Amino acid sequence: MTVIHVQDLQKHYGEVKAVDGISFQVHQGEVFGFLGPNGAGKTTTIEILEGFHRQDRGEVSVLGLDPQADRYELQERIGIMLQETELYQDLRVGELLRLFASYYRGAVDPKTLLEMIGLEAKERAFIRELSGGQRQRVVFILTLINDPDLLFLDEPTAGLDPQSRRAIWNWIDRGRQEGKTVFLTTHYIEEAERLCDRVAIIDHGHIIALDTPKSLMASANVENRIEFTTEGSLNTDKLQSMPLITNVVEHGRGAYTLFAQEAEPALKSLIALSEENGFRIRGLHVEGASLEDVFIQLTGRRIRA
Amino acid sequence: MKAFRHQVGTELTLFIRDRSVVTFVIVFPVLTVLFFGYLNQGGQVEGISYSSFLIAGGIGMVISSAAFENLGVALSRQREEGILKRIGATPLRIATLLGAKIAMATLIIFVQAGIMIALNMLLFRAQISGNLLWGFIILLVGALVFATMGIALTGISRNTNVASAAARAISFPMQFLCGTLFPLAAMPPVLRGLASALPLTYLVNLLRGVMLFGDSPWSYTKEWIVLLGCLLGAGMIAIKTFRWE
Ligand SMILES: Nc1ncnc2c1ncn2[C@@H]1O[C@H](COP(=O)(O)OP(=O)(O)OP(=O)(O)O)[C@@H](O)[C@H]1O
Ligand SMILES: [Mg+2]
Repeated sequence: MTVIHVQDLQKHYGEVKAVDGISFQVHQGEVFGFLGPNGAGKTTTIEILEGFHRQDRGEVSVLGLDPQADRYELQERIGIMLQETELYQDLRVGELLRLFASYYRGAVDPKTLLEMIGLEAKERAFIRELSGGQRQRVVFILTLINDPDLLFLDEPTAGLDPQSRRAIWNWIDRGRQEGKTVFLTTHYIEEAERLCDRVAIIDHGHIIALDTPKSLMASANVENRIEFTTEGSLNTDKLQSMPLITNVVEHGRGAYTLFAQEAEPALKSLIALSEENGFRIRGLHVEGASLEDVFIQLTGRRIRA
Repeated sequence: MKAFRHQVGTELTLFIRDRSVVTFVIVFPVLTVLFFGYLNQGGQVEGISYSSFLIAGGIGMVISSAAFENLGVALSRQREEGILKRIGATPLRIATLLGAKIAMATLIIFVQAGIMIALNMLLFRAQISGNLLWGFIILLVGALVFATMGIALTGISRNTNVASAAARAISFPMQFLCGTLFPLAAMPPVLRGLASALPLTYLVNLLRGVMLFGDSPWSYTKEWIVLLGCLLGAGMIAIKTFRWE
């Protein structure tokens, strides 16, 4: 069953084509991700689906509703995590959750949610007293307070420590197991690979690829990535001409990524080249193919420039 | 209804927990009235004692600061901080949210009116010779009119700085010039002209006439027209310009 339906969506801000004709569908029970760099159009899209902005062109339907015309009915059934948000600093955690619970026809007991995120002891703490990670957890459970069918999460783990990030990933997994549909945006490769059933890669308001992470990586046709830095610039032609190297990308001065069918022989020839040319390899990092490679192949840039 | 109740409770909690606002909205007008009441003890104004005169003026000051200035600035701060947008991501109706804020402002005004009346009567032997029930109704109307103007001001202001500067620029002269502390007749013509352009003048006139002079509320047609006109105009602007972010 289709939960989100988007057809030829466009949104312009003056000259900026924030979203430039995108179409996709999200099915019930899946975790669907928008992966893209800053300014790609992720927030613009998600906020049109949430009913915050009206599109210039195209059709959107969420849970069979029109986000503009049926705004309140839609809000009853979805949970929203905004990219940037603020809570009443002078309320206690319990007060805040009970307030938000009162906004809905039906709501989950705030205590259950606090237990889930391990903050039962903070029920009487003021929001302003919470640490960044604790605050973000509270922001997260606010999206669950009406037991929604569909979650919109705009960069749910941006700026979080690894521990909190993993915790939020687990709760998203749990939501999926309960049959919830999740639409999230991210510019973390790992997050998209780890969480999403399908990923749309978005850049400059266009969807440039859409598939399961596995298929996307397979289509990238890259098996290994070798990253390193040197003190000065190297001759990329020399790097390119090494055996088994399929591509070389230079990110600024002295930072390189080599793409290779097989890592080991490529590494050997890289080391041989360094000895021959007398440059030192620093920060060597070898990785299998990732969605980053897909992005680089499609755009020639990294997601996080 | 459940949401409205919770939202009013929240507004009250937030108000009480914010000391600077409590000082500004509750303590400052009371001190001003006490100060002027003390200075002019025994004075007569327009046929009533100055302390009686001051009751309507004090309430007018409170309406301007609690309903107009404080509500408008708080709303625009919440918009700027992103709290409003988070609320916009729930099914809470805009009308419920704003209704709760207006209810909260009205509550403050009633409490303050009670304090003003009690202080003036106890300390300076003021007397209320008019209709208290009508005074009550006019207070409600005043709260609604000035709260709506505060919301409209937030709507047309780009950010909190603008809203707060504009609110202050309007509220400050209103609190002192609109027949609140001094009778209009005693003011230089320039200031009197300015006062006649400020809506609080009409509210204070009406309130004083009905509550203290014992006039019929229906003999103040001009005042009613101005107040309801402000409500209508501000209401339309408020609806047109409201935004979550
Ligand atoms: N209200 C606005 N007014 C003008 N331009 C806007 C507005 N909102 C977004 N834009 C522009 O639209 C483009 C897409 O922005 P959007 O916020 O959707 O990006 P994003 O993918 O969410 O980026 P990020 O990863 O940084 O959050 C950007 O170029 C942005 O500057
Ligand atoms: Mg964004």
